[in-house]
Amino acid sequence: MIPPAYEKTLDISDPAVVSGRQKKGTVTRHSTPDQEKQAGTWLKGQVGQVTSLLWLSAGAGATASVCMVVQCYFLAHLLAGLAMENRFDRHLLWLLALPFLLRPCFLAIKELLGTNAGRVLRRRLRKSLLETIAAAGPHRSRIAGDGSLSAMVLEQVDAMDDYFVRYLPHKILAVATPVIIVTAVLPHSPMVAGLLTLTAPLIPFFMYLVGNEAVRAGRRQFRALSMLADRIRTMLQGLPVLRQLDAVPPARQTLAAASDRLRIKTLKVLRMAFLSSAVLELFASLGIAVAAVYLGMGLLGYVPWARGTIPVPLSSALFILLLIPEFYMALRRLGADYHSRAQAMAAAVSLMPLIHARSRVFSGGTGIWVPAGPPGIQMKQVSWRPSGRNRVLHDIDLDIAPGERVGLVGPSGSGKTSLLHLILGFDRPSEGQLLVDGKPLDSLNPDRFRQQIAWLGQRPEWFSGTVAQNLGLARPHAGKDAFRQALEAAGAWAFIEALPDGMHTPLGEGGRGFSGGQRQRLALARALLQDAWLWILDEPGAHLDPETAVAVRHHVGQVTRGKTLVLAAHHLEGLEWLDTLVRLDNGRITGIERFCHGPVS
Amino acid sequence: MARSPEKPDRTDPGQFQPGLSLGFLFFRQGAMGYLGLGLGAVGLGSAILLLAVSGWFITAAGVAGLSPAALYAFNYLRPAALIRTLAICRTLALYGERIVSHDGILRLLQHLRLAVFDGLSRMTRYRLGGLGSGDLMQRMLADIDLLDQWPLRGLAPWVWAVSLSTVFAGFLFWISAPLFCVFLVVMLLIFVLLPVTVSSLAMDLARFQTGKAGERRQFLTETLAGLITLRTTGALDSRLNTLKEMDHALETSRWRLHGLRHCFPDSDWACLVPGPVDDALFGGRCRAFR
Repeated sequence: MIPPAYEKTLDISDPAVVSGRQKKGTVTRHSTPDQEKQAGTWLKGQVGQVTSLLWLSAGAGATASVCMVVQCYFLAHLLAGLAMENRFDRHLLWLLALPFLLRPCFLAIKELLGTNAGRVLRRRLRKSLLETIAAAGPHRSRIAGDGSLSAMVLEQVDAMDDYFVRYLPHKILAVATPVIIVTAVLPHSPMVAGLLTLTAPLIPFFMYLVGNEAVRAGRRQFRALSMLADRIRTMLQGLPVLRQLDAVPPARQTLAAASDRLRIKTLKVLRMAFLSSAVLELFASLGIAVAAVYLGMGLLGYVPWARGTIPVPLSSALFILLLIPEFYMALRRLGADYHSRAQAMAAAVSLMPLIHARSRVFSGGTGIWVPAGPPGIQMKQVSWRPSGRNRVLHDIDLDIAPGERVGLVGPSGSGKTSLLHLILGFDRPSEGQLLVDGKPLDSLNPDRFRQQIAWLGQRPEWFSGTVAQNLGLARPHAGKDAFRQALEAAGAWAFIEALPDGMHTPLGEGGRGFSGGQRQRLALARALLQDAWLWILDEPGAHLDPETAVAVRHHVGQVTRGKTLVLAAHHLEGLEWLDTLVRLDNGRITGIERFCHGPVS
Repeated sequence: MARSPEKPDRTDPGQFQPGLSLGFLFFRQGAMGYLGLGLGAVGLGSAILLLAVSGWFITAAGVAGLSPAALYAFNYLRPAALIRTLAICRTLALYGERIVSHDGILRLLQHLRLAVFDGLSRMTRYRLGGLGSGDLMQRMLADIDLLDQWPLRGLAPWVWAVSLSTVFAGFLFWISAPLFCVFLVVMLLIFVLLPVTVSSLAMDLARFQTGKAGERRQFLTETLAGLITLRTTGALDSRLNTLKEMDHALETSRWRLHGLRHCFPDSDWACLVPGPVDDALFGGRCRAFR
């Protein structure tokens, strides 16, 4: 009814949206028709996975409609018996009870099947999106920020639920129910059946005409809402200044005027939007009125073309009268659920970047690498161009011997972190080869490979839970002694032991409750507990004060003896234990210095 | 806006933290609120009467057709005109109700926005600093817009249901006092006892959902932020499984809440309950028709 190009920004059948409220899943930015076409195709593909469930759901709905027809039939005969023969047919009353009980059952089945279809799709989709994000690892920031990604996985996926659960079955029922009713009416009165068949297509036609005008008005209202939002944002940001200048009252007046303009424009849109439901209301009312007058006149024998005869008997007339509201109800339900299609389209459009990213994410090979000792890493002419952008790494040739501890140094943007991410297997080199113990990294199963790596980032990553839960991520069943040894080796045992709850002390989001230095030591303990032969570190202690950072780096040096280690660093203080220093600039190696137990300068 | 210093300002977010009273949200709309309720009742009443009068007209026409005298005396013009009037009345009243009630709501939202702005402008710099601009925008636009849910989707349908049920009860009383009593019992069950018993369960489920949804969001945000650690420690799978369990718990709770809706029978069920009672008590013909 509404051209798809406008659906995602405005849903005229839902007053909440017209009045400016952003429903979950709707996007406020305008998407291109091409994006919407892609989103539509993708959405159809998703529906294809649960077609049978949706058809079954619609089938249950259609059976409920048949029950409703049967129910109206018995009710009409019961009433006609009472009126014409003063006879109350008890059998009919109890027969009436049967469809009355069956109808809600079928409606519940319809809902159950639709909900199940939605649940299956939601689970699959959420799993697939999470896999994509997880596979992208640190590169996920190229798709969207973590806040947007979590909104995609949660809200946008949920926003499609109504489309699968309600809209799609109702779309089928909007055809099936009127067909069932017309078929039931036809033997009783071809005239009324014809009337219903004629009016049914007129409703979507008029709703389309009115809907188009409402969409145009809605765009104007959308601009008013954006202006109001901008004005509010400016005023809130400048509220302290407004107060200092004693300019709050004029600002309030401006806000009042903007709010008033928004109200007037919204009301204008609502008048048009509600017209579309009024069209449906009018057809339903006129349908009942015309049919009632025709049937009543027929019973009186006053119909001009059948004067003196009764074209439709009383029981049939009552039967038809009871069915007419249900005929229009099916269309009304579809209209009421129409916003869920717009909502699903909007959600699909916003999910597109993540869905497209799936094809670009490096999935890795199947080989299993089980290190028997510290591994050797070879990089042969490695270049890396992330997603077709400018080259970040150029012709890197580096041979890291088993047990060698290598530092990568260089200014920001020199390619240190990118090189670490390549070794972590989050992407493959665009050119050249990266070998671990002589095996090409892209032939290895990335999950199994990464589990052999101890990782320490600039800001260690922590999760809500206790210290023990966070330390034992790699070895959840490690014993107390193992925890203590790791904490002692990392220099963290003293402050953990001093805590009243010890290792069971809760750790807030991001490690809240502990100082930066303590968090780094705890991260070191976690890495130690993993007992890996390969260590990858990205500027450990970068955000700590110089003294603490040096102490942490010294500790790293002590605990990583005999391991292969690659470390990115800005500062060399506390890294005297490194065996090799690789200088990087602009994605190229500018120098390699190897030390034999001597100090790094 | 002159306000009494003794009374707390219910629209000031600084003073009235727990929430606005539900009564305020309706009464602040003024005449528009009452007019909307009235028009809605007229529209729905017309819709019911349209079917009722049409049914009566057809039945009366059928009965009149049985004897030439009755046929001659039957005035078909008046019910036919009434049916047409009701059809138009239903369309116009329901259209009018939507416009009027939304106008009232939009005025209310406008008032609330200004009141929130007034409240924020009176906040101390320290308290204002505690709210990010995202929080403030959320309050000024999205949160305020959500307040229209109660008058439009909560209060109005309840008022219409109760008022139309009362009219129907009056009609039943006119036909037969026992039927009226049966209907009254059913109505009390639907409008009083059922909400009382179901609402605490529904509130528990709703609270659980809100808490669980927040927990799930926090869990996912932390998972995304700690992806590298989770992948290198091999803890991602168990974390994704926990997320799946949270999803499952939320789905189950949603399904239960949804199921509670089925505890409320359709109004046509309630209206038809007197039928079998009539059959049991009066053999299918209540006293008024004998």
